[in-house]
Amino acid sequence: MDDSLEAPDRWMLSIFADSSCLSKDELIAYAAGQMADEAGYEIERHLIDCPLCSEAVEGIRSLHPEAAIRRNIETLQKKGLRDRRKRAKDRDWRPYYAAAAAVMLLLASLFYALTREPAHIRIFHRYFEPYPNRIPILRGTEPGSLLEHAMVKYEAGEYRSALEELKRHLVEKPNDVDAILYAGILHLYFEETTPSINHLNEVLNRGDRSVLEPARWYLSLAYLRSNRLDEAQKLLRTIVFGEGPFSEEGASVLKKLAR
Amino acid sequence: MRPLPNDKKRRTDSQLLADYQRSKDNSALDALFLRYSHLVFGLCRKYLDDDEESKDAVMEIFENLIDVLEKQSISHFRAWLYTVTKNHCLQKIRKSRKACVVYAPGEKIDLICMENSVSLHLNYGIDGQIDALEEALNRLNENQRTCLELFYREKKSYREIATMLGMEVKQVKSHLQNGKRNLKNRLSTGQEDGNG
Repeated sequence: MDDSLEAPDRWMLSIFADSSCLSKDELIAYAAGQMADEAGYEIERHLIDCPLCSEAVEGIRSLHPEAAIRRNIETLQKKGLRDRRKRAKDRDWRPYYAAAAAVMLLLASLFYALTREPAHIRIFHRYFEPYPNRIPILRGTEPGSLLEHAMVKYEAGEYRSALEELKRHLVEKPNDVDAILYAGILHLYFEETTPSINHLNEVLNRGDRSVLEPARWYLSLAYLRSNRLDEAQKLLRTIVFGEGPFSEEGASVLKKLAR
Repeated sequence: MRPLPNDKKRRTDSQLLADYQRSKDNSALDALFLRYSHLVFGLCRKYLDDDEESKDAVMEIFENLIDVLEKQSISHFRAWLYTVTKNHCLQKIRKSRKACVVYAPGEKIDLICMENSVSLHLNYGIDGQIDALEEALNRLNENQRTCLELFYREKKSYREIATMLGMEVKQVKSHLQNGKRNLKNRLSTGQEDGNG
């Protein structure tokens, strides 16, 4: 400051002089009204500028006596520092916790990815269901032929017995395309894809139009289940193009495979 | 209590914040905690009117500071601390609905005044500053000007001024704060005019 200025002028410059916030002792002493005049004046000069200190004084003033103010503040500061250090230590561990969580998440994702069925297998399970029985059974009487025996069990959901009966029937009548179709479907039900594909291909090779569409549909599903996706898609396109009873399902499976 | 290293005591708020952000130096935050926790406690006590709740609030506010510093810098720490503390208390009050905060008419939180260190070093030189201050003072209303003169020139305390002018201490403080704010505004405007 310029010393040549006279005191009457100089006071104006002090209006905007900087001042520090109140220390703990200053806050307590001022709030308790125990401040010497000159020090008190300096505090008041600061309070004009600082709502933090000014309102802190208001908050502390109602706390009596001075010992209570000091005890509260000192407890807070001791506890605060101790807790802050403890939390800081916990924070130091946070990156490790985060890393551990990330590793766990990665392992879980890996496990999920490895154990999760591939999309085409999930599609197979979603779309496969046993074909309804189209072989007439004489109701109310004991089933006569092995084929009738097999289809009664097929309708009852006893698929393993039904397949065994069909196999025996096919020994006697190896050209029965209905029996070959259902045997193929039942093998597929048990996810025995090789015999299923063999049976269903045999149905197609025989060229019997009455069983052509179901044979194509189940064969395409058998290809899906055995991971032969190209063959499955090719056959599905034929099904869709033929606009037969399975064309809608065929289109839907193709769409899902494309995803 | 473990004493803080002396160099921490001497460092400014901004330096301490920068220390923490640069090296996660917890002693920098401890220094800020020791520098301000009693004030934050007092401010919380004003609003919450409860010792234990106020202590908890102080801890929460300083804990929050760590999170804030992870994401951003704080340029005016005192002003930030004041605003955050007050909002924290008001939020607590709203949640508990145990109190209704009513501000006295005309009460105004003046954050501008907290930024006292913001440069008022006018471009006029010292003589020019005196002239500008004098002119701005003369344009204040009488109560504000008288209070400022008694306080800054005569170094009278709030209470002495209140007795001399027959006012409440609260009114004196209000005249001083408003007068100073008006003075600052006028000087800033004058400076802009002068520069323009």
